[in-house]
Amino acid sequence: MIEFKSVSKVYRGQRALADLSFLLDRGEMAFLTGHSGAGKSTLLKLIMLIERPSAGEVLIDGKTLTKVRGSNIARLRRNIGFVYQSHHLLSDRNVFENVALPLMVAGFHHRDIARRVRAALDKVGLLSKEKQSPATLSGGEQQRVGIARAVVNKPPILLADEPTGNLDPQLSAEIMQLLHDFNNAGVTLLIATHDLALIAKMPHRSLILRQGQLIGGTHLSDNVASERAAPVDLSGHL
Amino acid sequence: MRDTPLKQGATSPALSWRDQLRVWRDSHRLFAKQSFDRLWEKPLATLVTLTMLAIAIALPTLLHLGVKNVSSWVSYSDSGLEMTAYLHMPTSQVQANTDFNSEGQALALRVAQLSGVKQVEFISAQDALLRLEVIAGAGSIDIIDSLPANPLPAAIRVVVGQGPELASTANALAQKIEALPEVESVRFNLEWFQKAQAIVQLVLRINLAASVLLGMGVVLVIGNTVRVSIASRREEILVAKLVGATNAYARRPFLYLGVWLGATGAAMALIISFACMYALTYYMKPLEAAYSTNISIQHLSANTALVIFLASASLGWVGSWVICSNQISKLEPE
Repeated sequence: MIEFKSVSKVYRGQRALADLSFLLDRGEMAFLTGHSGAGKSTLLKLIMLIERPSAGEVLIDGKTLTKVRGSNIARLRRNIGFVYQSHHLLSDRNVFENVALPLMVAGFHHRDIARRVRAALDKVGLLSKEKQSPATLSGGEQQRVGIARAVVNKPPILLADEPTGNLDPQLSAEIMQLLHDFNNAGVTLLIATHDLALIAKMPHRSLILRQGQLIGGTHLSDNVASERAAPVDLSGHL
Repeated sequence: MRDTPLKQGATSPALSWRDQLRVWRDSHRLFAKQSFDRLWEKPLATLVTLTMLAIAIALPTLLHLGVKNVSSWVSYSDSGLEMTAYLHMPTSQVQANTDFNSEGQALALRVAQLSGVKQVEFISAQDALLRLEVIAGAGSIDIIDSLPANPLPAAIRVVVGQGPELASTANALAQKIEALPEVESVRFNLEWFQKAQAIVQLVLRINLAASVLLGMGVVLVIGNTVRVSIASRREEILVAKLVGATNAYARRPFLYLGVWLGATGAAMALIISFACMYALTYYMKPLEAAYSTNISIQHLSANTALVIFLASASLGWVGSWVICSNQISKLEPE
């Protein structure tokens, strides 16, 4: 579903990602780890076309992103849900309107919008708070609104950048479980996080980044090995 | 690897073209309404902007009205040089009332065939008297009524079309008309017409230049307002782009903002112009009384008002588009 082929990214002479190759299968869930500055966010931005690779190519569903331009970038983003650490909710709109944004942008009919938004809010357990302003919600609830917005369009791919970064361990576990549920429903999921304790509890592959290079979990066959080796590896690198 | 098939639905709605059109229309309606509502979130700033726009639009409008009125007061018509052919007085009252008028009409039609004539109008002696009454005002009616017979001759008003050789055309035409047996004399004032024409042309050119400059002012004021609005809604634009908004979608509320500013500014300008003309009518009354005459005030025609309104709304769109096309596409998530 998501494939990186020898991708490098250079920022002002500084190498953020170096010759990165990996393949994430359709319906797979994987973690992207590494200490801050290792290139996790850069990698996600390349998938969202917020950034372009300096070399190599990124493929989604077998199609290269190199030639995607203009309004096709917007269309690509409609197929990818994105959950942020700082959730990026709009404070002048209520919960419903925030979650409805991807549908309005994609040109859904308002009847469908109401139905889908309520379904998404129901899934994250916030149906009763649709009229509230995001500012009146707790951090965990805000993050769940962010997740509802990311999945409301039923995208086949969901990316998350430190989705539990600001939350306590219990809320983090809840958010991870929620994301895991979407994966069970068939969504391909890539979660950037440095919450190693949380990763250790979940049976998924980890892509480990270190100074812009992948040092584990690049292939599906590494799965078992990296899971076994992960705690040891990570403690060494982080 | 997971074998379960994807349950995800289409990420773009599968709608019929009719529904798509409806969604598109609804979304435009929503944007138009939201943009309009947003104008009044900061009423003072909006009012200042709108007043600036209204003044910029009202100035050329008032100048246009000024030219139109002064032209009408001095009976200057842009359509061409006016010439009056006075007919011989009828020999008897009976003749004046019946065949004479139809003969005059027929004569007017013949005159219309002459080269250089753009327009003719037969004015019967009775019409001429009525017009005199209107111009001279109510006080004159008694005097006119006391006359034993209508002292005015019937006439044919001839408009000579504009052309490079106006002087020679007019002179040749006057000779031809004067040669007609029914015509007593032909009067026209070429020199006056040419002077008036030169002045009117000059004022119109000045107004055109002022309109262009003030139109640019309108575009800049609206562009700047849109720029400030984009800056204050940066976060919203970025989030919308992250969830798949195209530049066109992100631009839409700001294009509406520009159109609203232009249209509302024009509406205010039209109200100002109307108020000015109304005030002028009011202050003209003592003047009319003193000179015991009727001065008709030429108001803005509905067509001109519509043109001003649509042109301003278009300028608003242009001003907004220039800024949007530059700023919105630059605003990309990082």
